[in-house]
Amino acid sequence: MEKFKINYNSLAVKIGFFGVILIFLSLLIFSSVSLISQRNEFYNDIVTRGKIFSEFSAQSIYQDYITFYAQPDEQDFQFFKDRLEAKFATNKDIINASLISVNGRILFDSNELSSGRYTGDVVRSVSDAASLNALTNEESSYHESDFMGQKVLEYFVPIKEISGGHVLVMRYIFSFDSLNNQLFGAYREIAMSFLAVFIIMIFLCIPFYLNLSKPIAMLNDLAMKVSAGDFSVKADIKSGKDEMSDLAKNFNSMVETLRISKEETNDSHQKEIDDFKEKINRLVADNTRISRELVESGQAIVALKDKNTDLEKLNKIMIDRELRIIESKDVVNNKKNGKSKV
Amino acid sequence: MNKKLVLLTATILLMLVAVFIVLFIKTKPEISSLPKNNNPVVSPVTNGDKIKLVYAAHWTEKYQLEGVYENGVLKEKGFKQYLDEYMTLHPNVDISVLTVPYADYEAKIKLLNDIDQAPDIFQIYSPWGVSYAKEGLLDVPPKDIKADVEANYVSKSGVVIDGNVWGIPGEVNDYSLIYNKKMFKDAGIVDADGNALAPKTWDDVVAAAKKITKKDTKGNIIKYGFAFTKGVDWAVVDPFLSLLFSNGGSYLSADNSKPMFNDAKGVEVLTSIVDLFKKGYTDANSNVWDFSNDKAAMAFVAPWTEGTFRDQMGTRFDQEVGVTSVPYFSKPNSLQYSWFVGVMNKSKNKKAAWDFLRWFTEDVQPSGTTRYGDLLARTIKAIPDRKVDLVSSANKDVLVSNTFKAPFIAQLSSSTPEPNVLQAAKIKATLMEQIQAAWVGKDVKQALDDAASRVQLILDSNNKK
Repeated sequence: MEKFKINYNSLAVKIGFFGVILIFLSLLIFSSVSLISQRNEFYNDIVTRGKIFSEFSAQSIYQDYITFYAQPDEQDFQFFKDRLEAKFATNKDIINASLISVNGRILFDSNELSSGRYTGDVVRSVSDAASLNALTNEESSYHESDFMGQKVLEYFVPIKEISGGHVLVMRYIFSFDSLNNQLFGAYREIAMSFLAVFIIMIFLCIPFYLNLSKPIAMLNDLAMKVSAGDFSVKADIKSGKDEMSDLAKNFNSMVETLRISKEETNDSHQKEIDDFKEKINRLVADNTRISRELVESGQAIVALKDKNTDLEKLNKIMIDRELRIIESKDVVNNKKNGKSKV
Repeated sequence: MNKKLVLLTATILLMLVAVFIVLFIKTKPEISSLPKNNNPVVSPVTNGDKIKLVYAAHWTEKYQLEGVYENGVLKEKGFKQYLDEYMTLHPNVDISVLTVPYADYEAKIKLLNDIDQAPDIFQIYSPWGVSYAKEGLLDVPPKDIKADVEANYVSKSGVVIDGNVWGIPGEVNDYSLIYNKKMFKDAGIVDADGNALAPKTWDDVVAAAKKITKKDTKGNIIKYGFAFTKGVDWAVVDPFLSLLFSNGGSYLSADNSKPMFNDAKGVEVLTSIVDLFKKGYTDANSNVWDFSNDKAAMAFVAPWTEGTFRDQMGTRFDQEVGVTSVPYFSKPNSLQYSWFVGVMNKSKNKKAAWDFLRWFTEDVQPSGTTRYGDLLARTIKAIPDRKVDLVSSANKDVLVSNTFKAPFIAQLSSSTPEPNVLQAAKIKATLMEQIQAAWVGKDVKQALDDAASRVQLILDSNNKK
C-alpha cells in the first residue's frame, strides 16, 4: 500500500489550507459572538432566577421564621430548616439567605442553621455600606459583592408591613458558579463543534486533495512523457463536467495536435533533408571539380607568380625613374621662377 | 508554501483559540449594565420636635383602622380617627400604626424588641403577655393606671400575670353558639310561634344537626349540621374547652402545672363532639365561615366574628343569624379570653405612650363611654372590658341590646378565663392536634391522654424557665 504523503507544495493543499484557515477564523468569530451573547444571557438568567426566587420566597421564609424559628421548640426549628432547604432546592444559584433588620441586625443566617438556632447572645450585624444602604430601600434591590472570597450577587427584599414601610429585609446571596458551569458547557459545545468541523474538513479535504491533486499529478506525468516525445499518451477522462475533465480533454486534444503536427513536420523535414542531401551532393561535386581545377590552376599560379615578380621589379624601376624625372622638373621650375626653396 | 508555514499558521490559530478562551473565562458582563442599588441611605423619618409613637395593632381590616362608612358617610370611627383626634389635641405627638397580623403578632413583637425596633404601644392576646413579662419586654404601668384597672374593669384575669398588672384590659370575649334561623325553620326546628328554636343543651345541638345535615348522592356533606375549622385553635380547641367548662371540667390545674382536660369530663365532652363526626353531621372539611353561605347551620364563635359575618351576609345577617349561649352539659359556661394594651419597655417615649393610653382608655366622653370602648364595641364588634363601656346606654344598641352580642355579654359572668400560662399557643396547638385526630377515628381517651402527656412536657419546661 502506498504511503499517504502530503505534498505541501500541492495546489490542493494550498487551497485546502487557506480554506481551513478561513473556516477556522469564521468559526472563531462566530463562537466569540455567540459566547458573548450566551455569557450575558447566562448572567441575566442568574439575575432573573434570583429575582423570582427572592420575590416569591421572601414572605414565605419570613413567615416560617415567625412561625417556627422564633418558637422555642426544637421540632419547629427543624421544620424551619427543612422548609428552607426545600426552598433552596428550587434555585441552584442560592448559597445563603438571611433575615436582617432595617438597622442591620442579622436575625438568622442559613449558613448557621447546622449549628442550631441563633439565641441572640452575640449581636451580629451587617457592616458594609452597600448592604446597609440596600436594607433601607423600600423596593427590592441587588448588587454584586464578595462573599467568602467569591463574587456573588446579593438580593435584598424588604418584608413590607401591612401598614406600610418595612423593618425586616430578606437578603439572598447567589453564586455565579452556574454561570461558569454553563459557560464551560458552552465552551465544550464549541470545542466539540470545532472538532466536528475539523474532522469533517479532514474528510472533505482528503477527497478534495485526491480529486484535485491526483489528476494534476497524472497530467504532469503525461506532460513529461509528451515532452520526452511520447505523443501516444492519453489522459483518462472520467465522464465529469468539471474543470479537471475539461483540462484532461484539452490535454488530450493538445497532445493529439502535437502528434499530428510532429508527423507533418517529420514529412516536411524528410523532403528538406533529401533536398539538402542533394544540394550537398551537388556542392560536394562542385567542390571536387573546383578542387581539381584549383590543382590544375596551381601550376599556372606559380608561373604567374614568377611573372608577377618580374613585373614588380620592372614597376619599381619605372617608378624610380619617374620620381627622378619629377624631381628634375621641380628643380628646373624653381630656377625659372627665381625662387629657391632654401 | 512549506510544512513550516503550515505548522506556524496552525500554531497561531491554536493560540488564538486559547486567547479567546482565556479572555472569556476572565471577563464577564459589565455590572454597570444592570440596575444598581444606588439609593441613598434613607434617614429615619423625623418629625422635628414631635414625639413619635408606634402603636402595634393586630387589626388588619380596613374598616377597623379607617372606620365604617355608609354611602360615603362615616358611620363609626376607625382607630385612625381616634389617633387623629389625639394628634390634633397634642400637636407635639405623632402616632403611627404598625399593623401585625394576629398569627404573627406574638413572635413579631418579640422580634422587633430584639432588633431595637419595638413599637411603643402593644395590644396583645393576654397569654402572650406571660413570656413578654418574663423576658422584660413590658413596661410596668404607672400606679394610677394600675389602680384604675383594679377598679373599673369587668375582668382583670388577662392583664394580671404572676400577680402583677401589666397593662390595661381591652376586649373581653367568650364563646356562644350561632345558628342559622332560616335553616332551622326549614328543618322544622321551631317554637310554638314558628320561630327558630335555639338549642339549649348539647343534645339539642345533636338533634338539630341530625335534621339539618344534607348529603349528596355520594355521601358528601353539602349542608353541615355543625361546623368546626381544622387547624384553627379557636374553632377546634375553644369549643372543646367551653363545653368542658360547662361539664365541670378544667383545662389546667390552678397553678398551671398540670393538664386536667383528659379526665372523665373531658373524655365525655370530646366523645360528644366526635359523635357529630361519627354520625355524619360534620366532618374535618367543615368550616365555620361556611355559616355565612348557608352551608353550615351551627358553630361556636367569639363576638368579633360579627363584623365578618355582617360583611359576608349583608342583609341576610339580621334575618338568619341567631346567637345563644353555649349549649351546656351540666351548667352554663364558656371559655373567656381577653386582650390588653400597654407600653413596651424599650419605648423611648413611655410617658407619652401612657398619656395617650390614659386618654384613649380612661377618659370618659360626654357619652359616658371611653374612646377605646367605643372603638371596640361599635367598630371592631368586640366586647369592651371596661364597665362603663359595657353598661353605657350610648353603646346599648351594639352591646346589651344587640341580638348578636347580648348572649356573649350575658355569659361573661359565668365564663371561665383562659389561664395566663407560658407557651399557651403551643399548649393549644398540642391539644388541637389530638382533638383533630379523634375527629378522624383516634380513640378519644387515647387522644386526650397523648395531648396531656405532651402538654405536661411543655408545662414542665415552663417551670424550669
